[in-house]
Amino acid sequence: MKTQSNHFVRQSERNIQDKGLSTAVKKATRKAFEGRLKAMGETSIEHGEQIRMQAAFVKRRVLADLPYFLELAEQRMIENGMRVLWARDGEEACQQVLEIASNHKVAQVVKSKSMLTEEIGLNESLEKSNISVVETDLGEYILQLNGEWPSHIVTPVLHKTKESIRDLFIDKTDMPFTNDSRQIAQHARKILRNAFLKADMGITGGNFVIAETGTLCLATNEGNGRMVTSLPRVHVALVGIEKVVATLKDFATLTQALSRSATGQKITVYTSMIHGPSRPDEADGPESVYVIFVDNGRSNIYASKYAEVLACIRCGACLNACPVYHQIGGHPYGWVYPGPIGSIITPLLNGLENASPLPYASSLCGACKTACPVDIDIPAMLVALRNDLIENGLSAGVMDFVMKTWMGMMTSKSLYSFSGKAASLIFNKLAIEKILPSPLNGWTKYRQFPEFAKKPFHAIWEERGKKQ
Amino acid sequence: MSSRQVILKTLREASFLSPDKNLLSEYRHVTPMPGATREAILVRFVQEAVALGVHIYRPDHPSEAIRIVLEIIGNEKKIMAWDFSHILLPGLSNELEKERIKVVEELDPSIEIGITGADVALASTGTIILFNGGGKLSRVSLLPQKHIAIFREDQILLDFETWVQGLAADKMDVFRKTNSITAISGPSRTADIAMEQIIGMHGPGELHVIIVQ
Repeated sequence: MKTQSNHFVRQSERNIQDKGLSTAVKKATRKAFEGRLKAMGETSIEHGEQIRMQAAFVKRRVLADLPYFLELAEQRMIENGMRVLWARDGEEACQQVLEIASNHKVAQVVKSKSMLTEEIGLNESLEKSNISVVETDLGEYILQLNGEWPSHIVTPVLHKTKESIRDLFIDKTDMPFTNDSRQIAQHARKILRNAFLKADMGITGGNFVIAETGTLCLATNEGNGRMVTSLPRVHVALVGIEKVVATLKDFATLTQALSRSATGQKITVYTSMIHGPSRPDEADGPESVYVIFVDNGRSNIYASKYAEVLACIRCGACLNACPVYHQIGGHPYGWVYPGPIGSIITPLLNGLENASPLPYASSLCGACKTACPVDIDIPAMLVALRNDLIENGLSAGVMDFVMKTWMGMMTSKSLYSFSGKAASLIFNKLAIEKILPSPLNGWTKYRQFPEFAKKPFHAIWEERGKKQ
Repeated sequence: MSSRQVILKTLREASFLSPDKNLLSEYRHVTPMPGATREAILVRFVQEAVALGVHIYRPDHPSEAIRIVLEIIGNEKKIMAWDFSHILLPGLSNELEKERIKVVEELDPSIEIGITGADVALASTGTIILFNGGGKLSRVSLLPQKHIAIFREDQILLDFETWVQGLAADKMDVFRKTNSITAISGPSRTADIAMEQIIGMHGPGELHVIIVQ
């Protein structure tokens, strides 16, 4: 997908005004936020923190030896009967999928939710080659019907109201009018059940790959992940190279931390552990299973000071915790991964120049780091990215002037105290009803301008010293 | 150089700082239940499963278990099931035959009932674990609207971590012999329509668990 992150500001302004959207986003993120707190703190808050640190530790331990564990995972998966391919970028990965499809004479594909395939634009590639693709996760299916991209990593249509989803099914499929969400779901179930039974190939991502056993793991709730990996003849899984974990024991911690952080569930309804094609005594399962390890910029991140971001398990907890995301939803971030984590991944994978507003899309309050089940220091990385923007001359020039002036004032006592007095006089005159006039009104568009104190603190302090 | 070599080379040339080993002095279970008795484990399983919307039955006698199964089947005459050697309820296949209920394997979307055993169950999350293969078809627990799982009380373990540690002791051979293993925790669900919990999306909308002694 092409990034549109440089339109961040105007997209955000539009979404802030959209009442339906902002209500839906706030409601959904609030619910997920509370669910996570309850599930992670099930035993006690302290224990939840210890589990978070344990998850953070095991992810970093495997990353420290990533090439070793990738090779081990490859070897074990081959022993289990899977075929393992490596793709440097999205184009190569798409090409590999197309080749597999052509070798197996595939006409119809069903997919379970995968952010990586969104990232590399796999659906477009398949459709260009006249292979039909059906997304089978309910949320992703809704997006496919509407030609949209996900606005959240875990709950991709969280920005949509029930009514707009219903109207979409009425317009794009033959659904009769209803106000009952269950009937909408039943309608989709029927259409998609048909697609599962007809498909030649199933495509999935992978939540984890366990190196010691050569296991591909998928965590889903609807059951579509199981259908996609057991009914069609061929299964292709596209997995980011950062998804490998060392042991089953680590997987036990991570998969529970994932579901608890993502949706507040203690574990997802279906946790599938896949070991390759169906065995000779099995009637279910595909004839061929392919796993494609996709790099697409990840090894470059690994070699940078941002390597820690590869610990991300894509739970979406930082989105649910973020006060900026609450206001604007996911689409203004302009690419596949929105929210705080997206503000790091998007510029790193697409180039800073293509996502320059994103590192600033944060109040640096730190809620994202606290929510992150693997304790990624998101605020620190956002600050580092801002630094990179300035060093590369990609930051707005006016800020440079402002900052230099500010520095001059802050390092001289007399200038500081003079400018304070001047600002107090000028701004108290300028601000009418707590709103500043142009060109300063950008600041007060969504905020009130506070009145300056009658006497600055340093003056009060000096007087106090004299009295004593 | 192949893509594989390029990727591995880039990774090898970089250095990722190992985390401080002292940070993880002991391995913690996500929901610890130290010293839990068999009774406590059973109670916990039932609590968690019920919270997920699972129907739980604890019959005293196999004949009662069979009666429960027949009641859930209702008027259906065609069902799916695992090979009966993997379902710990002797006499079930005879009773089904007597009632003229046919057990089929085909992918027939009209089939409403699937009967399986379970290889393991986990108390802390109300989970049942099914190893697919060798007469244990995966579709039986997936395609029908109602899934009935029958297993013994002593198959319930404390949690995911306990199960995984047992596998490691077994050298994981059984684990890797099957093409797929599924841990199931409650009926299929989705919250994609305005965060409303809807039960029965693609998988079974009803999960009936019969714990026999």
